[in-house]
Amino acid sequence: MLKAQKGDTEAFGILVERHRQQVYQVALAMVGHAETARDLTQDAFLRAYEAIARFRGDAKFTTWLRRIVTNVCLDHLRKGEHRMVVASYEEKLGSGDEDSEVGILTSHREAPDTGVSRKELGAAIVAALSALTPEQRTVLILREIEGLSYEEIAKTMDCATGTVMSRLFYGRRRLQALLREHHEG
Amino acid sequence: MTQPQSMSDALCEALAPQLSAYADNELWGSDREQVIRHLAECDVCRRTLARYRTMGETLREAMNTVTARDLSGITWPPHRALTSPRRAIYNPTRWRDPWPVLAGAVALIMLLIGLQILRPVTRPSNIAEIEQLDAADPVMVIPGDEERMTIIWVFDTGDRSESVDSGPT
Repeated sequence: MLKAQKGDTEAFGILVERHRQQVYQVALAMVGHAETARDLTQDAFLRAYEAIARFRGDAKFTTWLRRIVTNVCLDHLRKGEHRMVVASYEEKLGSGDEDSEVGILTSHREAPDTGVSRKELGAAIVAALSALTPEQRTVLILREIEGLSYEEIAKTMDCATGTVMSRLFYGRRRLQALLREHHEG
Repeated sequence: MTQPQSMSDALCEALAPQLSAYADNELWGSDREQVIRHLAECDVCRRTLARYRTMGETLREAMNTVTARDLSGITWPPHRALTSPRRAIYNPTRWRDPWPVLAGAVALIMLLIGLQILRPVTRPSNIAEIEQLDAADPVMVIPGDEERMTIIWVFDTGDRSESVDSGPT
């Protein structure tokens, strides 16, 4: 870390190697598009490299890095560059049938152990994420994928824990409605 | 004991945000107890809770399928040129304050105006200065060089309103 802070590119490369999967996962969940997620991951590491001299170590490096990638992705989403990705959500959900996992998740009956591909459901949820607001999507990802507490999410996103709770609730509700809408439609 | 349907619906709606927080283990005290009591008698909210949890698990599983191939495009150092972190610290607020840029632009404009004002004016040599002499008829003298000048004498001839005669002296 100290070497990286002194501008040692190779030392920073080790940090990239160690954390790139985590950073990429966040970016992929946020933008829903592999190529864009790779570009944003690269951007996040570049920003981290340029700012690492200011990293004081009072937070974990992973927390600091997560905050950078979250902001890079939020900037990207707020610019509206994600609109093309929303189309892929329509395509992915369009083929759902009644017994699919999407149907099970959105119906009012218990989810039985049907053995239907959870992969399909996962793809549908990832795709549906792209129809949420950037803020709702971010809190859902930080909670569900990164497993952060409300307090940690609030620090990452610079907002109150009440806001986190509210965004999570509305995000989940919207996600469920979207999945149901496409399953029934 | 179960509540009437309409009352239960209203309670479900009122407790919905808390239910989401409960699913995340982020609900405490009386709010938590109220949700637990409601869940004991509300089948709809129990299913909603189960769906929240399934959604989270499925999303985590979907994201855990990232492979080494997915990461192959993320390289270090990147293709674009790097700047040393010591020399170029990323500062997102650097361009958010427009005053230094505006002040620079105003200073530049003032400098250009000042240069324009202070520039020496060179008068073309062939412009004549006309003087009007104090005489009965209007006489105008156009000075030339040291040896020559032109006099224009305007007088009334009677049949014309005015006549002009001129010639070198």
